[in-house]
Amino acid sequence: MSEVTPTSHAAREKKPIEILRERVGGASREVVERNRRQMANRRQIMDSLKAAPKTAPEIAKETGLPTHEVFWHLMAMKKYGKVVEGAERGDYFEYALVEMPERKGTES
Amino acid sequence: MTEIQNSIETDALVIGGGIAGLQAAIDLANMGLRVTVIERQPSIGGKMIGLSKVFPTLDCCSCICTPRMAEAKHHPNITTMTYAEVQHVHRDDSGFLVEVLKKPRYVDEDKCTGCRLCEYACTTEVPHEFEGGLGARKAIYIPFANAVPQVALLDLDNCLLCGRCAKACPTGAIDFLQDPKTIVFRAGAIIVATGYEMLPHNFKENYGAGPLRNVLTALQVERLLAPHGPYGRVLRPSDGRVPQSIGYVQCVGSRDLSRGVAYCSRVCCMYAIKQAMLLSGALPLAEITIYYMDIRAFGKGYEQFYQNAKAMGIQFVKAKVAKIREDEEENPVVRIELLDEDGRVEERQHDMVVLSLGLVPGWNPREAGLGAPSEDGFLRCGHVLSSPTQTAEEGVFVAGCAGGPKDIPDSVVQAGAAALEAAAYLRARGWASAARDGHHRKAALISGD
Repeated sequence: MSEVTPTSHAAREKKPIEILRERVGGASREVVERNRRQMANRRQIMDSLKAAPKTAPEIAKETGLPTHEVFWHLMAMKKYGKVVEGAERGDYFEYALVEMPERKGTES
Repeated sequence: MTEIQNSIETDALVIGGGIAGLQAAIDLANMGLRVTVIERQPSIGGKMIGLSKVFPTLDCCSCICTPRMAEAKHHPNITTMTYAEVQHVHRDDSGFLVEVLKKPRYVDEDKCTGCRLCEYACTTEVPHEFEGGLGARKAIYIPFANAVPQVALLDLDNCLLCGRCAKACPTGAIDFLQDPKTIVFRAGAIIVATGYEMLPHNFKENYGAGPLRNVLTALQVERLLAPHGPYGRVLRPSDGRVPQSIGYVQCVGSRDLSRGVAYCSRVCCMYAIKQAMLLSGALPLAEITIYYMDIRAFGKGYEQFYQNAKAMGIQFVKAKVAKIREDEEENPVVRIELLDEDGRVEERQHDMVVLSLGLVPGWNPREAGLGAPSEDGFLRCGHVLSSPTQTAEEGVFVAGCAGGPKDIPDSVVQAGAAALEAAAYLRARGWASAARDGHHRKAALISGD
């Protein structure tokens, strides 16, 4: 599993992640760019939710982001514990930010 | 760089760890034979573990599939190897030599405890394949909630190579320098249980060709209905609205000679009826319409299931769907020809439309040197009546959808039959269960599962 290849032997001092970066030539520009965009959109959504719980179309209207993208982010945030589903309004659900006391001030 | 291991002996090799493969493996193992299951996905369980409930009993899929997965994983006579693909099958005097490529997970399977701290530390999110793209996953992730094994894997294509996962891992399981491995198995018999794939979403360009956000595949709706689904309830993907009107389009791709799929996929009528029933339960006010050519409810209890659905108020409309477009609010609009009304054409708007897509083979046996498939692309079978699980290749048996579309009860029955035929074949050939304890343990060690 951890067999020593000639390249890894020569670079013994390097951390495994550094060796992997060299092997694959770093993260692809596309992945880095997509990630940057996602983080920026995520920040906008979180800012919009700070004021009050909102539905996906309401956040989309406020931020100018496409509604399907806002909804996808909300579902990702729900999965990883950043938002919770709130009350049903019309045919939509509201989503609210989860308070994370241990990381106060560091998010967004 | 690929490392080649010495050959490992096993009595029977099962290709595919879905419900059919697992059932065949468990039956063989309970007969005292040593079995190795090769699964190309990072978890065993196949398509079934992603489904919500099964027809016609409406049993929970996880409740039936998860114990099978756990039994196969912990059975002393079974070795499961996930994230591995059969590359080539060679035949010699004593049986088969099977080359298997074990893909790198970049996670040490022995050290990973499935705690998911790496997943929470990772900052990259991409659409989750297991959720039909509807939910998100990280670049490093446990395949899904009840995956077996509960071992993370790193998706290098979407990784920022930041190293946060390795810092978060409490057991030092992240292994960035893992290489693919080729492992050679010597087996007396092979059971092919490689299952099916659903036709792609964009299969029919006049049905929305994918970009219509509220036109979903039936497998995506299975995830919406599943307890651990991407949204936790049934909502439509374009805006998160609760759908109040849902249309089903039957026979998308099946029985469609213009598309080269001449056969009936056998399960679409029943899964559409089942989903319609489950949707009526989840959304009591929703109107559900099934546009069909004819309903084929042929199995035990299936006709009653269909009649129950009608009694529940699900609308069955005999119609051909010519086209699906969307209006300015992304509501799908179906253009239908009403077959019971002299072919009158009309347009109906829904909040969400589901395509009952046909099934196509999950694997081409020719890729591994196992002979050409039959005309429909599924595994060529030898004697359908006298030896229903024997393929055209001696010593190679078939279970489940690898031989053609099948529902779960039929797949399980055929898996049991394949196990029995494989065991009889090994005995008739005087195959001594050569993969004795030592060999078997070695296989388990190498697989790491």
